Amino acid sequence: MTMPLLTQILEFLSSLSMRQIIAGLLFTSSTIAIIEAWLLSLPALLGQYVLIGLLLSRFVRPEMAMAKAITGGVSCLILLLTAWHAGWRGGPGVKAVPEPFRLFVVVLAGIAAYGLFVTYPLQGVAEEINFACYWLALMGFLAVALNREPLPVGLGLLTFKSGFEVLYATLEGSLTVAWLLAAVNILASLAIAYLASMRWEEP
Amino acid sequence: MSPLLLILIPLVMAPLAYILRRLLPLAALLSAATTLAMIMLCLEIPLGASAQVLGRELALDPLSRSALFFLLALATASLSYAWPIPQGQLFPSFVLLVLALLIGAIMIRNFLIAVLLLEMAAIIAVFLIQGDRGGSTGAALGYLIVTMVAAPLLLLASWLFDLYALHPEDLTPIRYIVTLLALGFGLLLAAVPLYPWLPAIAAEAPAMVTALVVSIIEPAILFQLLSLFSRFPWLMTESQAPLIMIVGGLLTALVGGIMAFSQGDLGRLLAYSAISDLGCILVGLGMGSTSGVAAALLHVVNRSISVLLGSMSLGAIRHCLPTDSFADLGGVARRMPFTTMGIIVAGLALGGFPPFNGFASRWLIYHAAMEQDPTSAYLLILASGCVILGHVRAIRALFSAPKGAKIEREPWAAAAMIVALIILSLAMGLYPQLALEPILALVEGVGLAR
Repeated sequence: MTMPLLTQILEFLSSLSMRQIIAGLLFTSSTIAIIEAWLLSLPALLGQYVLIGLLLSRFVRPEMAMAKAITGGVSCLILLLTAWHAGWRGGPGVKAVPEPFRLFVVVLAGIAAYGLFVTYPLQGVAEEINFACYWLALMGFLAVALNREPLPVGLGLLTFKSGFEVLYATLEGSLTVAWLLAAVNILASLAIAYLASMRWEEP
Repeated sequence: MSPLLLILIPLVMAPLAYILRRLLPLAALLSAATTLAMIMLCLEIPLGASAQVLGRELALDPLSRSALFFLLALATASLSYAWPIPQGQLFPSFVLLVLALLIGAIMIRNFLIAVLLLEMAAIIAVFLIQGDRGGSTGAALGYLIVTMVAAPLLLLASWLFDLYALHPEDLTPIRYIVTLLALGFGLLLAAVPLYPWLPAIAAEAPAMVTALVVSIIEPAILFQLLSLFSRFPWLMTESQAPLIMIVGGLLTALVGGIMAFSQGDLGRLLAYSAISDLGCILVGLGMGSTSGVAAALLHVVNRSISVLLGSMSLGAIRHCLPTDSFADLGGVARRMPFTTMGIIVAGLALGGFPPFNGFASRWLIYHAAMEQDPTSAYLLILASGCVILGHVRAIRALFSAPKGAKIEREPWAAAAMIVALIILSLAMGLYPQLALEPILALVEGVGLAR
């Protein structure tokens, strides 16, 4: 029962067009920037990593794309366990930025990302990678700027880093570098998880 | 003997220190003994010895050996201090992990891998900054953000270096390389205006963790910058890098000095003094002359020693008092004389007051600056005056009348270490040639100057 479902999912994912993958990235990264609740933002991060893996699989060696997706999965698992364990519902005494304002800023940042993509396209890099890089980096930066708590800030940082890695994977073909970047991501996820768990401890 | 041992030993010992984390003094001593053994090993491994790691060459040259010896000596002192005054359960084990990665970054002959190793070391330091403290995570989160933003900038610069090497006729990448390096290194070193994370760490983290970040991680980052200047001499001759370093350095020295003057607690005062001192180092490096670069390197050594001394004294105060705010320091001078001496010497050394170590290297930087642009020398002296005045305010607070409950005396082992560093600070101030001559030989030998 499980195997046919998994096969169906894989078939569906591999059938996605480039346009659909980019649309998915827009949706997941915007969700991370707009919504603070981990029940929504963590699945969005997982989806983002899957889509990044799919995007990269069209431009780089499959094992590199796979490395990104696996790393993302491990990062999400670490953060999910932390959020679950800490029963994380936002920080003690910290008032979150209202969602309508976040949506407004995300729209502005989206326009800025498109503007950067059109005005300063990175030479020798595919259009899709160019756009995804600018978009993810800006959305990640926005999530960092709009939040104060370790978990949402951490998701923003991982999104920012994904934006950079989408570009870097196409520039640097070394598998050693890819695995070192993966190690950095997992270490960063552990640090975010540690900070999120300490946030609720007594001072 | 392979230089790989210098990475493997701390990696093997770190889990052992972690297992012993509940017996903190024992874990601290075990880690200190490990770093001491590594110092001896570092001196035993012949120069030029190399090994292959991750398909890249790992080698011990004169510059990296000097850097390793220096960082390991500071780490030994920091870990020994965690025996009388605990710095968090993770401190002894995680410092070894940080050291393993920093050593890898220093010895590997590849900027890209070095940046990734430095990033990992900085992320591990995030755990130490938070320590066992619950509640506020601002300082640790700030450092994580800085690290994760700075590293991609440096990695992109690394890619542009390769691109420029392939097409040297196209000069466009140079501008981007310099911008990316300025932002990346500026963030990691806490240069103005990218500095706010450092005072936050000094206020929130255990004192020895501040010392780890300023005295051990920052010099390792500066080492990467120097390696780049050595490998790509055009950075100093054909780009705006020297100008950016001088202007940024002056701004860092001045803003750090002014902010140091206006602080009301010892932790932030120490951080802003260190920031101001960084400005001095950047100006010295930016001058590019043999005397300027040698003076800057000597100042890196002196700054690390002074910050370590200041952090040890700060740690002792935090151990015996609930706060390090000037308002609550009354009576400290009477009950904690060695700690008070440590604060005074560290402050005056960071401000470049004679006869302490900071003065010797600052004097050489002023001299190098005078030769090229006297205004920058005057601005550095102004910044130094602000730092000293800030410390005079702290000294007044230490000597003021006691206000609250009776203050405990500092642990004798901590006092002994503070006294040892005071003597070292004085010795390096009175006989700077002891360190300067080998540094000069290194600068000329490796070709670090223009």
